[in-house]
Amino acid sequence: MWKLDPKEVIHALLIVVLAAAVGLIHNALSADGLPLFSRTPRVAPIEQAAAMEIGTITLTEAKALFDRGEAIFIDARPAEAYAEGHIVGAVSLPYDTFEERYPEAADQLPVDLLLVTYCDGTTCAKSAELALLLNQIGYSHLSVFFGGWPEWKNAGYPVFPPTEGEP
Amino acid sequence: MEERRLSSVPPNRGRTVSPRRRVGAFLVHPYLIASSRVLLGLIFIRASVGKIGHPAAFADVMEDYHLLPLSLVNLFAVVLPWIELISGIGLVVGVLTRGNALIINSLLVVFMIALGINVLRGVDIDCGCFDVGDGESIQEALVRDVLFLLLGLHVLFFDQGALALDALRARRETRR
Repeated sequence: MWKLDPKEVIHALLIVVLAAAVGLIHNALSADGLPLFSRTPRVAPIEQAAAMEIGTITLTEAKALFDRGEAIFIDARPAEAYAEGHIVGAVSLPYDTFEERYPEAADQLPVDLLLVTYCDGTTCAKSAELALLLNQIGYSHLSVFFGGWPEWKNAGYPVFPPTEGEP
Repeated sequence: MEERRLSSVPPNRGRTVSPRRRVGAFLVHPYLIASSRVLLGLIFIRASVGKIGHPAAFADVMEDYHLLPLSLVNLFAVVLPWIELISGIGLVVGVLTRGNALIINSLLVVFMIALGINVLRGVDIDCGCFDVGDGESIQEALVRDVLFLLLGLHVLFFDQGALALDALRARRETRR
């Protein structure tokens, strides 16, 4: 039966200490060195979006815009998730493959209409990041529907393909 | 005399070896273990390079995991890739193989816990395992780490020092 030799554990610890020392020295000498113990929290994409005056909308607001046809919904999730189900009429523009997909999605995204991005709800930042990207390339009527796909689906609002068992 | 010679013939000779035994013998083949060791080492070296080159981006990824206190994120982001690099090199050349295998297996277990917690949380974060921002999902990474851990355990449990510098040193010491 295999046994752990204490000598090997000591070797492992020494290697870790050595690696840590090299890392710290490299960090101290490197031009992109990081401050070791102080860190300002990363600005979440949603806060960045707010700073760019991209608002967020609630489920009720999203539904109202949908009913009045006053907004185009953009699905920021991967294409497979979109294929499994999305808000009726939403345009698929996955954040992860934005550069490849934008050219085909572009003619479905009018500059003068409100564009509402969404993804997998509040655990997902891709909607806000997508809105930021669109903002950078010149779209100004943008909103993030942060509740996203889970809220919409759970509310029983129109989805495509239609959920089974529903009229 | 004749009898003794006969009894030293391995009991298997002339009989068919059971497939299970053959797989077992294959798994502990010194060259196969050496391949696991070198492959795993190269994987870790490869994984460390992008992180060492882009410490700030890697620290951002670590922050997104929401597991470490904020004040420790940078320290870990600075040190961790160097542990990966040095242990990776150790495995490739076969120096202190078991010590390095111990480190790499421990890292893999820690990575899997970190990934697993975030998969359970249902969050959508960048894995940051190889190149920061390569868009690899944490679910994929978790599955892949299971495979890496199998390599790591293969090395840790079975390595006999084939094609390793450790063996060279051991041979020199016994000759002395």
